Amino acid sequence: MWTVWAYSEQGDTALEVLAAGRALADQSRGIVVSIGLDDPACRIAHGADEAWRIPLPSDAPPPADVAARALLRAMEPEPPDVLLAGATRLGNEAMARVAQSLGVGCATGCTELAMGVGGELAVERRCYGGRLVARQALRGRPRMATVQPRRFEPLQPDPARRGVVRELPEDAAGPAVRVLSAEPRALGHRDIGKARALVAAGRGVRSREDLAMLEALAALLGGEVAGSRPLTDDLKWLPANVKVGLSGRTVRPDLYVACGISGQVEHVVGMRGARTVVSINADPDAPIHAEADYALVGDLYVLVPALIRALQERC
Amino acid sequence: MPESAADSLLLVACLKLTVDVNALRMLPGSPVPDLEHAPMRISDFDECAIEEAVRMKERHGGRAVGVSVLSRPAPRELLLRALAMGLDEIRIVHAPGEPLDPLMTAAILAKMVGALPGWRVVFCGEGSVDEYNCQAGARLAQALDVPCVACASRIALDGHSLRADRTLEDRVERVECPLPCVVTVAGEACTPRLPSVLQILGAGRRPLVEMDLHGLLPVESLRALRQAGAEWRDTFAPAGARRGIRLEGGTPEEAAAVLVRLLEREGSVHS
Repeated sequence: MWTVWAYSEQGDTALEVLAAGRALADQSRGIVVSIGLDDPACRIAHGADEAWRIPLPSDAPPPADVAARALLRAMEPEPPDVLLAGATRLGNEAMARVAQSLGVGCATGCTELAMGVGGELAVERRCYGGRLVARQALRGRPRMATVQPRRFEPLQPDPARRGVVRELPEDAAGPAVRVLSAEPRALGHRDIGKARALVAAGRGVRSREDLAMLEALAALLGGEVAGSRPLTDDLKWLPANVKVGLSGRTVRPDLYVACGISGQVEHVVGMRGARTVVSINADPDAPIHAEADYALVGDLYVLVPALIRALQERC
Repeated sequence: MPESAADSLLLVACLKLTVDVNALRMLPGSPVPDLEHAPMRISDFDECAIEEAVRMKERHGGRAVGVSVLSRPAPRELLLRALAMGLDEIRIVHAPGEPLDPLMTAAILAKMVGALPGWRVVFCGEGSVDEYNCQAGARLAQALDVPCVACASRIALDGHSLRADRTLEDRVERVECPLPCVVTVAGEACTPRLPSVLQILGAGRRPLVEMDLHGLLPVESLRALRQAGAEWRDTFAPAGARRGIRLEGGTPEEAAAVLVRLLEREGSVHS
C-alpha cells in the first residue's frame, strides 16, 4: 500500500499532479496526500485523502528552498513511498533539492507513471530534445518524479469527499533568494497554454508587420499566435511568453499551424502534444513536415492568405 | 564591485558534453538511437552558462573556470572551444557509465567546485539538451549548501550579492541572493559567442586539468550514489503518431480548401 505525496506550488498543476498521484495510490489501495497552497477542501474534492498546506507570509508561491525544507521536515517521521511534483521551474528545483538532500534519484517531466515490478516506480519521459522517450525506474524511498504539466487531467470534483486537512509548520529560516519584484509574463497577451488553436510563426516570416496575417488566421481559428525561438528571442517580434519549445512553453492545443518553422528539435519538443499539426513551409525537406498531420509545401505568403480566404468563405 | 572583491572573483561554469541531438540517427530498422556514433557538442544551455560566466569576468575581472564530468571520451576540440569562449581553465573528471544520474553528477561537481577555494558563483545551464533532467544546478546548490537562482537572465553582481531575472511559467521575478550561490542560466538569457578557429587553436595553451574521480569520492560512495539514482532502462523513438498527409499538387486555393475540409471533418475547425 503506497502513500503518495503530490506537491505543486501552482493551483492548476497541483490538481493534475494530484490526479497522477491518485492513479498510483489506487494501484496499491494506498492514500494520496496533496501538498500545496490552495484551498485544501478543493484538493480533497479532487481526490486527495489528506490536504496539507504550506504556510506562507505572502500570496506568492514558496521559493524552492522553502518548499524543499517544508517537504523534508514533513518527512522526518517517515518519508512517503512516492513524492510527485509538477514539472514547473520551481517544482523541479524544489524536487532536485529534496532528492539531493535524501540521496535519491528523481525523474523529471514524466509523461507516464506506473507501479512496476518489485515496488519500483516506472516512468516514461521525453529526452533528447523531445525526440526520444526514456524509460526509467526509481526504487529509493521516496521514489521521486515530477509530472509534465497538462499531461494528466484533474479528476472531477466530488464535494461530498471528506479528508484530513493539515497545516505544515512555518519555515523559520526564510528564503535564501529574495524576490524584489514580480511581473506577470502574460501581461497584455492571452495564455497560449490554454488556447484551443495556435498559429506559430517561425523564421520564414519576413517582417514584424507580416505577423498581422498570422493574427488574422489565428482569429479565424479561434486561437492565438505563438512563435519559435528566433522570433521571440533573436528578433523580439513576439513576447517571450508565446515562445514554444524547449526553452519556452509546452503546449497541447487541438490545432497547431506551424508557419515558416523549420522544425528544429528545440521547437518541436514544445508542440508534440498538439492533437493536429499543420505545417506550412516552402522547403519540402524541412523537418517540420515530418511532425505534421497535414503538410503544405509552399510559400507561406501565398498559402496563409489562401487559407484565410477558405476559412472566410465558410462564414 | 569593489576592487578587492574583483581581484578575488572566482567564477565557475559547469559544462556537459552531449550528443548533438539534431544529428542523432536511429540504428537501421530500429527505434533505438545510435548514441555511440552521434557527434558530440557542448550542451546548448551550458554554452549560455559559459557565456554568462565569461561576461561576468570581463565586467568585473577575476577568473572563470570550467568544470565537467565526462561519462564518455570527449573530443578535445570541444573543450578547447569552451576555453576559446573565454574560460581560463577547465577541469574534467572521467566518470564512465552513461547516463550519469544527476545525483552522482551533482556530488562529483560539488567536490570539484569545493576544490576551488574562494569561488563566488557557479553557472550551470538550466538543463542539458540530451537527458534534460533540469536538476544538476539545484542539486549542486543543495550539496554545496548555498542559494540557487534557477532559470536566470539579466544577471548582475555587486560585492556580496547577485541579482537576476528569474523567468517562471507565469511571471518574471527580479531576485537577489547572497554570494556564494549557484545560478542556472535560462536558454533565453544570452547568445553564446562563436570562437574563431584561431581562438580555438590559441586556447590550447590554457590549462586543461584532468582530476582523479577516486581522489574526489571514495569507491564506496560512488557505488552507493550509482545504486541510489534513477535506473535508466532504455531510450527509443516513439512510433510516429502523425498522419503525414502532404497536400501537394493543385493551386494554393485548392490546397487550402482541402485542408479546411479535412480540419472540419475532424473537428479542428468549427462551422
